[in-house]
Amino acid sequence: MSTSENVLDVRDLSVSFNTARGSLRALRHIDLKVPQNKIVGIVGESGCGKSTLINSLLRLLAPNAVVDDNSEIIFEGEDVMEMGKSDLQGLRGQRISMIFQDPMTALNPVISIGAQMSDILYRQKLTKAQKRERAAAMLAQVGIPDSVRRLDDYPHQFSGGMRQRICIAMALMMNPSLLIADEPTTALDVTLEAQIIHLMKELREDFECSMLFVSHNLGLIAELCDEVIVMYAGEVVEQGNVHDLFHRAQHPYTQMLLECDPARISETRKDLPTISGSVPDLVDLPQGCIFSPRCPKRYEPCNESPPGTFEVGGQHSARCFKVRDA
Amino acid sequence: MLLYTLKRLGLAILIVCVAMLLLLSAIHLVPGDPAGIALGPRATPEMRAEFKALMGLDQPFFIQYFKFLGNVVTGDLGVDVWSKRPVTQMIADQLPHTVALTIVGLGWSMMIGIPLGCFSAVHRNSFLDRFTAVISVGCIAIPSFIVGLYALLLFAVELGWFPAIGAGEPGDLGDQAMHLVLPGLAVGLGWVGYLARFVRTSMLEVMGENHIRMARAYGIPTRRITYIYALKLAILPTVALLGVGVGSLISGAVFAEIIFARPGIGKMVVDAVNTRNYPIVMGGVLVTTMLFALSTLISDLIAAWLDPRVRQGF
Ligand SMILES: Nc1ncnc2c1ncn2[C@@H]1O[C@H](COP(=O)(O)OP(=O)(O)O)[C@@H](O)[C@H]1O
Ligand code: SF4
Ligand SMILES: [Mg+2]
Repeated sequence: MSTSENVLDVRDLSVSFNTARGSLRALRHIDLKVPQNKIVGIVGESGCGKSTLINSLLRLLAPNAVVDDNSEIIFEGEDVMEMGKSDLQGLRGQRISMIFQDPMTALNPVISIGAQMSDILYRQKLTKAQKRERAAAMLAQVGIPDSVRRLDDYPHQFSGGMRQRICIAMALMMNPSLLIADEPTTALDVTLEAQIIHLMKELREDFECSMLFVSHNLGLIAELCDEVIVMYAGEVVEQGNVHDLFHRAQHPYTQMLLECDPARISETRKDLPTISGSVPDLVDLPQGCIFSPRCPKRYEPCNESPPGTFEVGGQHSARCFKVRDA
Repeated sequence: MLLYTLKRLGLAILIVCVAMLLLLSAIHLVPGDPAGIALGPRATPEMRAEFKALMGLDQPFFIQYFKFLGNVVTGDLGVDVWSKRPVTQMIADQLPHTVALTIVGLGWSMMIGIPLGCFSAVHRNSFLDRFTAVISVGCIAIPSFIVGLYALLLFAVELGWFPAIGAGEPGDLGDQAMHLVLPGLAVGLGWVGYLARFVRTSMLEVMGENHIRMARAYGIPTRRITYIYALKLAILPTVALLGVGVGSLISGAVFAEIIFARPGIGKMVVDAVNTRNYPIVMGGVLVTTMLFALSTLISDLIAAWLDPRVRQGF
């Protein structure tokens, strides 16, 4: 069964937000698989729907979100969309956990680190002392010195890099099968970023979990991920393994991202290169290809209907008529 | 923490000193000769001079001020110009009534206002949220003496559930508690609205913060998120507000004491003002300011206890 190889299998996920201007179609027909023990990277400019995608996985969307009925989110063989409240609580932080972008605001300022970590274990039948012990061990593992004593400290007593380490420790508390990292190093400087990435690589060996890694940083994606998904304006425009994607990019958007980056994938940079033109209005979508207003390779079919997803070869596919017509 | 407490204590003392300075200035600025008004038109100049000397009003302004402060330190607030009883003693008799009334008023407002605010924030835009919004604004708009009068009419006179006036039998705690219910409600009800709106606003703000999103993503039970993770932060501005708000609760207590004919500092001071019994006015205002300063001090300490960042800042 294919689901046993994929920890996560998202099929035809569409999400829109009710807004004053009408329905904002933030995600459209997303297909996505995260294979066992692999790291899948998601790239795309800000506003393309990365966070919406991630939040859908844990059913943590804003109240004005509407998920299309056809959407399926199969996690370890179960459809997350069908889960009840209690199942969801058993999923969040236990089987899927998340590391957020900004470590400075991700932790509760008035609750001690130890208490916040112990709370994640609330479903475990452990004594308070055992939970603390577990928390201290996790802190030690992510490189926080003097971890037992520091359990009683509060977030403001730690630096940004340390706080992100704490968040990572929290994410791994329950030994989840899927770890989602939403731009985990964007808020950190380059040195800290390198340290955190190094730590994540190290922990990956120890914890054997699959990972969904959202980033603006092409260099990091190339360094860390096995597979890459490129998103544009609420669609997956290209996906494939990291080698194919960086060396044989098919979609004009991916190609532009890579071309704009002079040192290509080697240079570490904070943001995606800017591409001229603006993102389409998600309330009023263009009729044809979503990228056509900005696409230099646009030709006749592009304005008529949106392209489907076409196989480039193997697991590599792109949503562009050029691939079909090649 | 010790240093923090000392700093706050210093501030509290400063508040009291400034308040007394203002009060003394007010006494001096009030038109008309206090002795003349107190003793009536037929008093002789000698009687007036004697009266002024008794109240210390014959001395230069700053001498009076520092003498008063000096006496305060030794616990001497002078004597009632009419009955010649020590003011300290009179205040000691009245103070517990006012403190109890203020605390019960505070209790009422917190007990209704905070859960109401939490509820409205959690069920934002629900029917009950809108309903509480109306109630809250209503509570804010209605002066406490109106609430007092109607509560008195309805619950004491019509329904007879609670006693109407007085403070209850001395020594009978149950009876005294029953006598506190209605005046306490009158004092606290105006604050229910403030608190509910205030708590709602800060809850909504906190609920939108990243760490709450994170707590949700970690499957922490919703109740725990609302009442521990969010409320512990959202309550901080409310604690500060209440610290200051006790001032207005005390002034509400003055009305309640008059309407419900309860003993207390408020009633004592109002009576004293009418007879220009300045030592009592001074003493009464002094202890109310002290109460006020003390409550801001306590609210600061509670905030520090709740918030480690405040604790560390001092
Ligand atoms: N609660 C919401 N209501 C309305 N629009 C939203 C909401 N959340 C996100 N959006 C919109 O959905 C799109 C995708 O946003 P997001 O997923 O945050 O993008 P990313 O994480 O890639 O920057 C954006 O156009 C954003 O404005
Ligand atoms: S389908 Fe056409 S417009 Fe869209 S990306 Fe391909 S070439 Fe460009
Ligand atoms: Mg985002």
